[in-house]
Amino acid sequence: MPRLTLDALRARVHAALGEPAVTRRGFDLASAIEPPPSPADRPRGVAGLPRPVRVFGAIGLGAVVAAGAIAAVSVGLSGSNPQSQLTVGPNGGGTSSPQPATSATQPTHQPTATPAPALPGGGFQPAAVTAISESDFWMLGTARLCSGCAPIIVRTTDGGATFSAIAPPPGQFADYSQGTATSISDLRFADAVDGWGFGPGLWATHDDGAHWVAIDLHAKVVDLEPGADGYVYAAVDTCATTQPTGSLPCFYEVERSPVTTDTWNVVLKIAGGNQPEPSLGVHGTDVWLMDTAGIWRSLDEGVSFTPLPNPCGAQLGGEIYPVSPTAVWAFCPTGMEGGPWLSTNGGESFASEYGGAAYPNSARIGAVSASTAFVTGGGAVNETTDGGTTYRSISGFGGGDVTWLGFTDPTVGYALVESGQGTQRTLWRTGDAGARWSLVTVS
Amino acid sequence: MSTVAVMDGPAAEAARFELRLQPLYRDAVRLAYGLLRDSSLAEDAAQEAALRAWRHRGRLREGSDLRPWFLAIVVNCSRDLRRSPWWRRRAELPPVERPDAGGDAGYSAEIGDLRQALLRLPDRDRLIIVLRFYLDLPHEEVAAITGMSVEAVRVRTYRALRRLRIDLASEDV
Repeated sequence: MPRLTLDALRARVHAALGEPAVTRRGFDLASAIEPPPSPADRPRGVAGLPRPVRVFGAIGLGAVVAAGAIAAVSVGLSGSNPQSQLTVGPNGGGTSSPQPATSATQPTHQPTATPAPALPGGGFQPAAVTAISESDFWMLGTARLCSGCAPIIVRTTDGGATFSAIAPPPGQFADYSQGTATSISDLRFADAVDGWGFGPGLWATHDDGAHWVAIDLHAKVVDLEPGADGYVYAAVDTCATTQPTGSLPCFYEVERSPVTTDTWNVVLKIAGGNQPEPSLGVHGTDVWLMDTAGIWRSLDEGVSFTPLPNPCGAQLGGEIYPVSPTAVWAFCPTGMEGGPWLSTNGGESFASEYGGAAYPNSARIGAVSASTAFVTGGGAVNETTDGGTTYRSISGFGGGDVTWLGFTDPTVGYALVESGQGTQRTLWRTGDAGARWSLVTVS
Repeated sequence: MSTVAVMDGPAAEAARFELRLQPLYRDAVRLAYGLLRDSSLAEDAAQEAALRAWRHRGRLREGSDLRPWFLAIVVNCSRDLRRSPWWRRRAELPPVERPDAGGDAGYSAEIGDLRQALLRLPDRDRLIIVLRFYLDLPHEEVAAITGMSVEAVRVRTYRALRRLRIDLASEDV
């Protein structure tokens, strides 16, 4: 082992690495700046200059796609009721043995009947959207941007031409991180009458909002997705309820209930306790849960789960977006930036599909198929149609920042847009696979 | 008659930001080159880092040092390039662009061995070596770029040198 002085070591490292052959004169930021749009195109904000976005709620594309899938199939309750759950230890070794299912959780309150409200006037601020077909979708929002205020739900059956208000759950609307046991930040419908307001509370309706029941799963509901098998799945975090004691173990769980009833059973239970929250993905009858340790996949309606490797870095979390039994997108944050990953074998392995771009850790994917996906983040929207090899920038949202984007089918999609320096939210809709976007007006 | 164009708006802001970054260009390319061993890729990584820095300039706290913040972005960009499918599809890494080692055959062999050893280092160790002994940065700046404590930088530098089978004579590990 040679004994070197600091200068000698530096000289050797310099000699070993050599010097790069620099061919450019320096940085070029001009390519980052798009020509400013005309004032008519840019009522607020600064187009072409992405700025950090505030991510709100726990909105997931999977719900939109899953709900769309439900609309396309004949939904019937499966006769099979799983009688086992897979409990996995902290190491995620997959050595767990099936155990009897926990007792079903029943509604904790009698259904609450609420008269249908009038349509909100101007200023409706959408926070979540869920669709069951091209023409039928609901929006959850508030009369003004707020947390801890009354939720508003509006519904359309004609593709957004007209809306009617339906009664919301009695709880408050609040951002997930600020929510209470009865507040909601997100909305899903599986069909025309069965829906759920959740995050972190959970409310269910089976008559399109005429009555809502509160469901207590003894945990925070992180995400919820209906499947095409007559079941609805919820990812929950029991840590939120046990952490104050500091002594109880806490878990991330997948719970499942028939769509038409409120009979919830734990079908997956894994060690939890650390942020960030897990991500739930449902496509057809397949279920994925991604946490910091790995991905858990069920191919049998949640009866059993198989551990798979997580493409994302340890302890940084991620989001999973299945679009078919085999095509699964994931967004992985890194220490500073994040990027999309794609699996073509159901999540058994992933490849990074950044396409040369970089996104903030808060970016999300609007996945359509194995080849087509939209990545929203940092105020920008990029689309790939070749599985992530290349991306092109998408614009046309009135100069606002797209904070979420999802498709119900390959042509119909929705985008939630924040504008006015975060003072206004709007919903935009496309019927031609994103070529043109139109502002959805609640009237 | 001369005229003075008063620039304002986003383009002017970008121009000012670019001006602030320009003094860091060479170090950015050298850092990326030390990690990627490819001049073209290194320039790509530096340029990508500039774009990311522009997008996220709001995260740079007022009064804080631009240099370590930006070089940390360069590290991330280089890492992302190495993770990209294109990188993985490369059949063979390009040879290191050889410096002029002079006529000393023994010295040349030693440098060659060190080059190979550097290539075999784990990424994080190579990063430390590149920052500390290629960019000649002090421990404090290495710590700021890597997000480690100064003591952790010292420990990792020591371990990296052990892996390189180098015993540094001074205490300045």
